[in-house]
Amino acid sequence: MGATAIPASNDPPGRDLVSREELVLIIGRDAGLRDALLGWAMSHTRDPPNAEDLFQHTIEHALDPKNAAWDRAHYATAGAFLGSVMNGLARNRLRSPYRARREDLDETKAAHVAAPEADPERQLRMARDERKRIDMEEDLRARIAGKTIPLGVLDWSARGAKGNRELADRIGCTIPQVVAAKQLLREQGAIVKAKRASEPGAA
Amino acid sequence: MTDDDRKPGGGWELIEDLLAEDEIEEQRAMPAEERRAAMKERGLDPDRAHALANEVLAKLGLPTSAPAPAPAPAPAPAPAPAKVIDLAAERKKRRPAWVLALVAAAALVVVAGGGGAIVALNMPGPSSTTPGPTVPTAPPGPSPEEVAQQENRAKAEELRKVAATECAAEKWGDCEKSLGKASRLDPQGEDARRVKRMHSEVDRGRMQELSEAKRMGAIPRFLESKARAELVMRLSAWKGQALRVACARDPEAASICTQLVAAFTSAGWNVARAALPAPPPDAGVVHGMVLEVATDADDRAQEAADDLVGALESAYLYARGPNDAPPGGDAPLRLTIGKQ
Repeated sequence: MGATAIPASNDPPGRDLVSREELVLIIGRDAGLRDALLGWAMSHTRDPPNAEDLFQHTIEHALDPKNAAWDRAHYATAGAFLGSVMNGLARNRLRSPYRARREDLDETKAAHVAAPEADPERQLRMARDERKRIDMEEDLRARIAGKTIPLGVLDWSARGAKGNRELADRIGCTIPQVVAAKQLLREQGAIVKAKRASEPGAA
Repeated sequence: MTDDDRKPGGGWELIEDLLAEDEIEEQRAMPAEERRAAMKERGLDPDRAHALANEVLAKLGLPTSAPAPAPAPAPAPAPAPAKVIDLAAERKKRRPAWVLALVAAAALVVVAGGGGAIVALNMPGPSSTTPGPTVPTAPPGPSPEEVAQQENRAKAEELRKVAATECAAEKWGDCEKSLGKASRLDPQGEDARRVKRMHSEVDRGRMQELSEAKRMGAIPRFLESKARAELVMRLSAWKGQALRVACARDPEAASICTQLVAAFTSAGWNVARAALPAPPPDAGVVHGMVLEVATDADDRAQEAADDLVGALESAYLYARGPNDAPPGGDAPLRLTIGKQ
């Protein structure tokens, strides 16, 4: 190839890290991704100002070199990676004085809500949300009872395993089996979530 | 990691991530107008996402993006004396790979030639006070930025060739990575049909892998009646399009071939069916479907090819391509249906 030789990748084996510059480029170029992310933030917050805040925090977090970089071996698309970052931040919102910390970063905005550290209402909501997650996982486990690989994917994910390769290694199966298991989990998870959302008082 | 360090509800976090991925990718793939309407319905300002992202990028000291993707700018006028080859236009002509290689090599020659032109133009010219005949001056040569841009285009072109090879080998991750690097070097090149097709091919390849993994073992390909009706309706927009379908002798391939040929014919396409010749003993067996388009096919045929691949995908049938095929032949579009 001569003058236009392509440098070899320096990624460690089994990882496919995406540079911060590439992620910036994707975020800048992909209007659909930005809109979809804002929409997903709205699903979390149900309030436009908070959704915008979560959206910005997600991008900031994803581009912060202190945080884990996007690894394509774990998240095939930018949407999957940013969605996961957003989910993590949304979960932490109730665990920490999220709003207050965010407002500290932007002095031009008044706080939308007060966020004292030991707000009993926050603690109640946090406990309720975590209970809901545990219940939904139990429902899901009941639906996939006897299916060893999907159950293994759930178990090892709960222990922090990430990526199809690591899950396959931990479970002792092949990567396509993990992919298939995730597809089943997706379908059954969506059913559990929809069922939960349709229950009285879910809103 | 032990059995005891399982986080309560931690498994559900994986489900949330999987559902987020589905939702985001689905929204992302929606037509812009539809997506904006959906945002408005939810009380979101469709113009905000871009401004919000730019706010963060600016705060982090990173480059911000323009409000809307600008169309590929017209190439700069050719500097004399060398002719600048517009790679984007060349790509759009969909030449075979060997022609593209020549184009890339020519671009490098132009870069070198451009450098020569700069040297020549920097030499002292005739003094304005010196009497003498008026000599027409050469137009200015390419600026260093233009030279760098041309170099980047040539590198991007190389990367896209690598990507084409990786996509052909169904190495979707590698192919996407090479395309991403090329995109960084030459964003305008993203508008080329060939490049868009490679991006789509990566998406479809991944979908196919998922689908195949889901099936975990050969359920014969089948055109469901509803999917067939949609396929026929969609392809009828290209009524009269000539297509050659080559089918493997395998019973499963022959069956899906028959179903598809019938559907294409119902859509008004001129279909010629042929048997796929048996491969030589030392050659691999053709798997899956591949659509090829003759390099001399007109724009209508090119667009029909893109739509055909999309229509097949909607029917949960995945075809690689459209790939370049030699010019001429009995039909500009050639669909090969191999073993599953």
